[in-house]
Amino acid sequence: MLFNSLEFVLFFAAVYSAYWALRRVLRAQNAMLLVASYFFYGWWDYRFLSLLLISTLVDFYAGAAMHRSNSPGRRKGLLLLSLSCNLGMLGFFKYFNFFSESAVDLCRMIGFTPDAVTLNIILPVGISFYTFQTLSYTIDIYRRRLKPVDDMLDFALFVSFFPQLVAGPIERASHLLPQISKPRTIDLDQVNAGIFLLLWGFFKKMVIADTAAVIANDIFNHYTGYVGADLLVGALAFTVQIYCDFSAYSDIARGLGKLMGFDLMVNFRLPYFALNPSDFWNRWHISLSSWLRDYLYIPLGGSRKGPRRTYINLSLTMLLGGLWHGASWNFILWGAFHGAILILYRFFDRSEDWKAPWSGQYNPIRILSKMALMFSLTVAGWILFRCSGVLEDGVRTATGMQQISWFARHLFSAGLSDAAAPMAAKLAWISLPLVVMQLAQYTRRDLLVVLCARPWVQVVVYALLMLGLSLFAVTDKTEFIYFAF
Amino acid sequence: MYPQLTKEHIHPTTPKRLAWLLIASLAMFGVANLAVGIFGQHLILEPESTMIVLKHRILEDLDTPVDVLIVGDSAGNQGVDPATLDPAGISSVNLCTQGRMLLVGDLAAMRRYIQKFKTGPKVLLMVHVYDIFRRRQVTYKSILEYRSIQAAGIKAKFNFGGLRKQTLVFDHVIPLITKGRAVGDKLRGIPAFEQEHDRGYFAAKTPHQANLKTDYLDHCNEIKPGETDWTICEPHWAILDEILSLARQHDTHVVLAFSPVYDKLYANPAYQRIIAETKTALFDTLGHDHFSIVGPMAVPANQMGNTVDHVLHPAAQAYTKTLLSHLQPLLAK
Repeated sequence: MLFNSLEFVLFFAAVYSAYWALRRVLRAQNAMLLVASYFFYGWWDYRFLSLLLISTLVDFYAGAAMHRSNSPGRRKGLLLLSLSCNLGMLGFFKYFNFFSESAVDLCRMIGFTPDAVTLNIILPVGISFYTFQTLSYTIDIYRRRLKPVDDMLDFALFVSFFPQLVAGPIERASHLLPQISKPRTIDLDQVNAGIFLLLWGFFKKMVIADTAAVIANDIFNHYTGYVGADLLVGALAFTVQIYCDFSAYSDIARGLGKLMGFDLMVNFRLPYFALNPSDFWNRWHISLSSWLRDYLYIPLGGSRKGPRRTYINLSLTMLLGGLWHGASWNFILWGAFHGAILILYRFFDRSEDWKAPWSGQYNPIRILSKMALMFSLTVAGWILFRCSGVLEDGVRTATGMQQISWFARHLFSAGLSDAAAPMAAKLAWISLPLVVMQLAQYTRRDLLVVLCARPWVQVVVYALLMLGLSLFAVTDKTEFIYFAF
Repeated sequence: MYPQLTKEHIHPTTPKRLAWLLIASLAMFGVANLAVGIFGQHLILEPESTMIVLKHRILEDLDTPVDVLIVGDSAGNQGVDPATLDPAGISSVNLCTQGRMLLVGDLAAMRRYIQKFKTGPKVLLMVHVYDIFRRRQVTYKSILEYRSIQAAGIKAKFNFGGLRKQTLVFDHVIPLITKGRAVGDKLRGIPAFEQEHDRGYFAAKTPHQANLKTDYLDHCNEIKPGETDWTICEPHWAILDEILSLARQHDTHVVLAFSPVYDKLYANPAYQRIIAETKTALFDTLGHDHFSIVGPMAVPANQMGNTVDHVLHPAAQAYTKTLLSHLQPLLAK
């Protein structure tokens, strides 16, 4: 069930009515949310509910047993059980074919020709998100940083809470579980924020992202028909699309949460204003980057074991971060690219200017130049990310590597063609509301800047967003990009 | 968290303020829609409707009868260039409008022409996209433009869903100010036409590959066996009967020309089958008296505009030349 569909509107209306009706009985409210969440997830494919249930049961009982035990060996064994169960399912459903095909390709390169073992595996939607979410629970209990929850119902709801189940934010147990276990109040200020997040989220997805997607898809899928600045238009369109698409999902999820009295974590903090890769990862998909930092980078040693080990840790973390996005070489390349620029910036730019760039200590031209450079690198990264090959009528007509090679050879070879000029104009127009909103958010350092504007300004902004949705929304019920991850 | 990292500040509000915000913004949104809805229902503000009015004016301003009266949809609007018929000594005027008029515009133009000149043209050239006969719905705009619709026996269906989806402000209101191209078109990257007002031909000179590809895929889906009902419905037959009746009374030969089409679609066997079946159905019912069918013609991607039936100027000239070879024997009679 997509957020941008009539089914979801009806679903949420029914859930919210029931939620209100049950507001005095927490357990009944949670039970209703759990049933609604399973219904929401089962709408895609009810068979995958079994995976959700397995994750829930294994981690609930492993967490409880781990907490009770004082034996380091038993605790480690239970953690391994949780890790192998969750990562095993993720590995099988998401990566089996990729590794099988890659192994066959490798064998062919060295002269063997084994038969490829590939299975017709459907990727369960949201598996990467809820796997990481539930893993944080068992790992935190293992580290004695979290007490397990007593109530299976609360834990099941933590794993499957529908607003953020399929595309995040990846919540931490220490943040979300207390909100599930304790009575919630629906706060008017939060509702106010939630309404804005919903409106802005739907606008970003249905007006900006889905329109930019048409341009990006045309240029990336017919890449041999474009050279020079045309390709840049495609890359910029995807840059706009992926941000608006993914951050819109987070905004809508957070908005829905706020309407019900939940506070889900902020997942994006204006990433295209970043001054360097560290700054970028503090602003982009924060729930994943902080997960990777806390559960992978720091356990590997972080930056505590000397520069060489730091670079290795950074590279490994980013490679796995890339692989998290999908079983494809372009995602691994994208992760490697971000690992490489993180290392390069550590070499060449040790300045702390990114933490307070407008404090008056730094030259604004220097800050803007750094912002432009980081934005260019981000766009370059998105080219790698988007080049996943071309499928026409189910037949692969180009590989991701062929696309990347074409972009590398032709990106700066010519100006804008007549065919791409209208696309560039359309992208500029459609991105204008995003630029205006983000400039306001950045300069006021407030993601909810609209809510502190004068009342008439708020009214105009809300009316314009609604008008934009009614006039320009792409109503084809296009999926969110991150559903594929 | 470092200082520059943008945070989320929750701002206090009151029930009254929140209610006011929601009611006022909904009211503003509603008023904007209502205003545009009123414009859309009672005034002709859109570029497309403006084009229909323009074609009316061309017909009204026509001083002398022509050999070929060209009617049809947008495929003919930018696919048949009267100037290409000139060297053969054939006078013509292009009154093609758009697909949502179905065949209503053809009949209205024919009626008005006969009313004005007391005779019919030598040839009525009806240029239509292949799927015009499967279309059932006439929009409110057609009704506004052509009161004769009810006389033609078509049941009006007001499409409020469609009305809501119209890019109302940008396509209706702003063209009043810009007096030309809609800002909505600019935003969506739709290339402008170069109009030749006196002869009614709109030359398209800018390709739009993205739209073409999307439109092509849509058509491929539509023509898949079992996907679409291709039978010609009663209102179309009623209009065709009326046109043929007028043509026979005034000794006008009616040529139905299937529009030029993107060559990849042309090569599709399902497309060829639909064309063949449509031709058979039309001839079986209407006969061959004062009636013939030509086309379609395949056009490569680099000569196409934004859809599978919209061609650029050079292809329009080529298509008109192919029509010329069919028209010349008819006019020589």
